[in-house]
Amino acid sequence: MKKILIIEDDSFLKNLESSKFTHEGFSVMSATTAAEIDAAMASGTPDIILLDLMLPEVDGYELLKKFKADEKTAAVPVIVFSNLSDEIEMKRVMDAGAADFMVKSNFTLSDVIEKINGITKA
Amino acid sequence: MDTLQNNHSEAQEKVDFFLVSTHELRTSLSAMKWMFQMLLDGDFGPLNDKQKEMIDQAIRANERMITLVNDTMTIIRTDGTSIPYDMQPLSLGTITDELIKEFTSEACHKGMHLRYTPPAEPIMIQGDIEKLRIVLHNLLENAIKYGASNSDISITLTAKETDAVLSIADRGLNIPDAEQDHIFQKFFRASNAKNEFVGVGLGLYATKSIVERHGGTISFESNPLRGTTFTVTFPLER
Repeated sequence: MKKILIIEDDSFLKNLESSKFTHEGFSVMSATTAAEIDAAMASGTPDIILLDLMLPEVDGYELLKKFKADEKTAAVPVIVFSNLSDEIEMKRVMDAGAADFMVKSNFTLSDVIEKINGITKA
Repeated sequence: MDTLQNNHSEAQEKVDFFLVSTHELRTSLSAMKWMFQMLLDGDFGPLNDKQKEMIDQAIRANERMITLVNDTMTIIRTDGTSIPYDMQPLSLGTITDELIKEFTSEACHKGMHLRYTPPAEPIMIQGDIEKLRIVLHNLLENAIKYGASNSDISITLTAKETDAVLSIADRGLNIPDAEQDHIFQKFFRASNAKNEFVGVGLGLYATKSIVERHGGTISFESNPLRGTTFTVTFPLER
């Protein structure tokens, strides 16, 4: 069972994501704050991270850099999943080591699962 | 000079306001998109045929709204002469490479191949990298959207005299002859596209506006046998 960490601040979106991924057989952890992210990480390294960029306490881009710098999480693919679509922002996160950048409104959660399966299979 | 700077910061404030608003709109539209699809997939229990049909209509309406918001964001970022452009010397080949990589999986999804002929030498122009990525994004997105499944999209970048010349050719839906003069107009959609593909007719308008702000040109050739080729030029950096 693949373990996914969803980092998202909108509770409705987070509930839909959790519901879909659970339905598809993932083991789901979700977090919004730095403390929740630390607690989720302490319970086990995920196989994939789905990361929103605009978060209340922490900057998603800084989190991505932190994950890539930490040897425990450096190899974990991070898909940035955001409704920002600024071309510069996209390039910045890809340069920082994101596995992909997906604009939330342009994809269904089934598309995200397909992307995850492709990434984790490779 | 101060007046110019004030105008720019006022324009930037307006841009920021609209971008935050459209970001919030997108969040609600994302929620609806995901929920409708989960309903249709039966994640919350089976639906009868009538319910499926109604959800399908809701998905289409939501998609139209998402496209409108996406195109509006592009227009907000690029339209008008008051939006400041951050002009820098840059390699057009590098941007083209990056955008092709970003679209590869979307093209594969339709069984398409992006065939890129890169320039023999690096091609440098003066440009705003974000705006130029929007140009490439819109042209590649259109080529994939309107191109025929399992066909090739050819992308060529060359230097010709004083210009960088980028062309993107698809083998798909043509733009009818009688409508070709209107294709860059705001909200115009070709008659053979508007019922089949979701869109609002702002992408090419924005693309032309950006290209012209760079001192470049955009043109196209389109016919039912060969598909459509868009060609953009930018002055080479001297």
